[in-house]
Amino acid sequence: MEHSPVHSAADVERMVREHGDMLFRICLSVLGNESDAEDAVQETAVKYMLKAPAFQSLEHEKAWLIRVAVNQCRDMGRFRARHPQTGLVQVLGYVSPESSGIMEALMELPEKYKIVLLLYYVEEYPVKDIAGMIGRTPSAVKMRLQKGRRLLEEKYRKEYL
Amino acid sequence: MSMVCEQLKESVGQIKMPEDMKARIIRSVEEKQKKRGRIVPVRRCVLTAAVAAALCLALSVPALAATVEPVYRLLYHVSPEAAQLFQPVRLSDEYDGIRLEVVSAQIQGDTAMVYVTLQDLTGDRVDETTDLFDSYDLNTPFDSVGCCELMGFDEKTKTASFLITMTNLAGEAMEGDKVTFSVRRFLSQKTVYEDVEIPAALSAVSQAESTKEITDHSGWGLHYTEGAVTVLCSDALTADFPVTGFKTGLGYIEGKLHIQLAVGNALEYDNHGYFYLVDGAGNIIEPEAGYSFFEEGDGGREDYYEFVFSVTPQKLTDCRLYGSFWITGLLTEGRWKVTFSLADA
Repeated sequence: MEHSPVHSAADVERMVREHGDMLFRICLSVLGNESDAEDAVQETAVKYMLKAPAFQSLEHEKAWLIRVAVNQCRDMGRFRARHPQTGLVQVLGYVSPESSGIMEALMELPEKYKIVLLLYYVEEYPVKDIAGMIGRTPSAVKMRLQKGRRLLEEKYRKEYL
Repeated sequence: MSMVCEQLKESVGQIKMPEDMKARIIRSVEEKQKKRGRIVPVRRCVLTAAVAAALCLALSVPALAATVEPVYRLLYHVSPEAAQLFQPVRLSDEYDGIRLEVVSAQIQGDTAMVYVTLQDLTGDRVDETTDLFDSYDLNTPFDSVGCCELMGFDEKTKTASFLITMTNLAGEAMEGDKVTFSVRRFLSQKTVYEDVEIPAALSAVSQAESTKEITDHSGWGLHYTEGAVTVLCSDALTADFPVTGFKTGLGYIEGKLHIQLAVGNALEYDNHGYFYLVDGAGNIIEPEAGYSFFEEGDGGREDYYEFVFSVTPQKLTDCRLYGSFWITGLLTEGRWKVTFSLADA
């Protein structure tokens, strides 16, 4: 089923300028690959153009974009699980040398933990909002945060401390 | 926030999308826009709102809620356009006197909305607080993402209604696909105690006599520290607490006020709570750190939450202790499963 565009080219350009960095860092951190992250952001932009609802605020728009981007990453992540490739070097090219340890530890985490850690600690969303974005209960998000944080710390300590 | 989490925020925050990549994406989306032509009048977001509104309205009328037809009829009143896409399914599974029914489903493109009801035919295990928690599953032949939310409860028929929304992650239409919705357990009879004053004798809180060191914990707050931390001994907790199901204890450790909450059945029942202080001027004092850990004993697992406040004993005498607590009364386990074809929806 096709949809008529609900956002103009100018809307899309503004959205990419406004939220592009945020979408890219989530997608790159989850997927660990530059070209996959670009594809995921592009697909998110297409969905924004075709399917986005009328937003009540910029925050509402941002939350919607994150939800779509995360879903896109999950989809691509499943494909990549069957077609493994490594993009760690690409990811490290975006951060300072001092950050390489924590990024390597992050890359080793399962996708579901990476997503909640990024949304909670980097994008600073509360648990309730994250639950809405990823379609899980707040309790499940809390559990993932707890386990993800522990895994991240274990991997980081093991390799770098 | 722990050091590692701060590093995570600082490191990931450095990532910026290259300007040439932004330009490529903008150009690519513009090209896609030019190629599209056909106009579909009904937008998904509007449809979703209409359906949800209709269902909520239906459930507020008990006499109508027992069958699918009233929901369907009501939808026509709210949005005839949306009702064209709303089809009854009416397949159910019954176990231990509880019936799970897939009432209806509606598909639009890559998204399906499925209405299910859970009805206790013999008792009061299903109520207005029923929560499917993490124990429901949508088994689809395609990769999908979904969520399930309680839409309402009909007291007369003891029926809770849920809306499940699922999206095909490949963005493809779902018509013809078979979907299995299953539930293994649900929570109900939940009680929420919000912002209740805890009758603790704060002026009498002294140095903690019994403490212990823990290293295996997780936590939150600006002053959360990893590694070994000293907490209150759980055997010093008192059950003299206004909320059944919790025990608590207070004491000073290294100049900080520690308040510990012991929670039974935290994992299975999703029981949880937190504390805060209110000073004489009415200002809320939040904990500067929190630690969660658990102990396995003969009686099973017990979870503990320790809240650390930066407040002197002098100032504490001017404070009152408040908390909010969520406790589940009933966990019902079973196996309910309905398979239906989206071809009929």
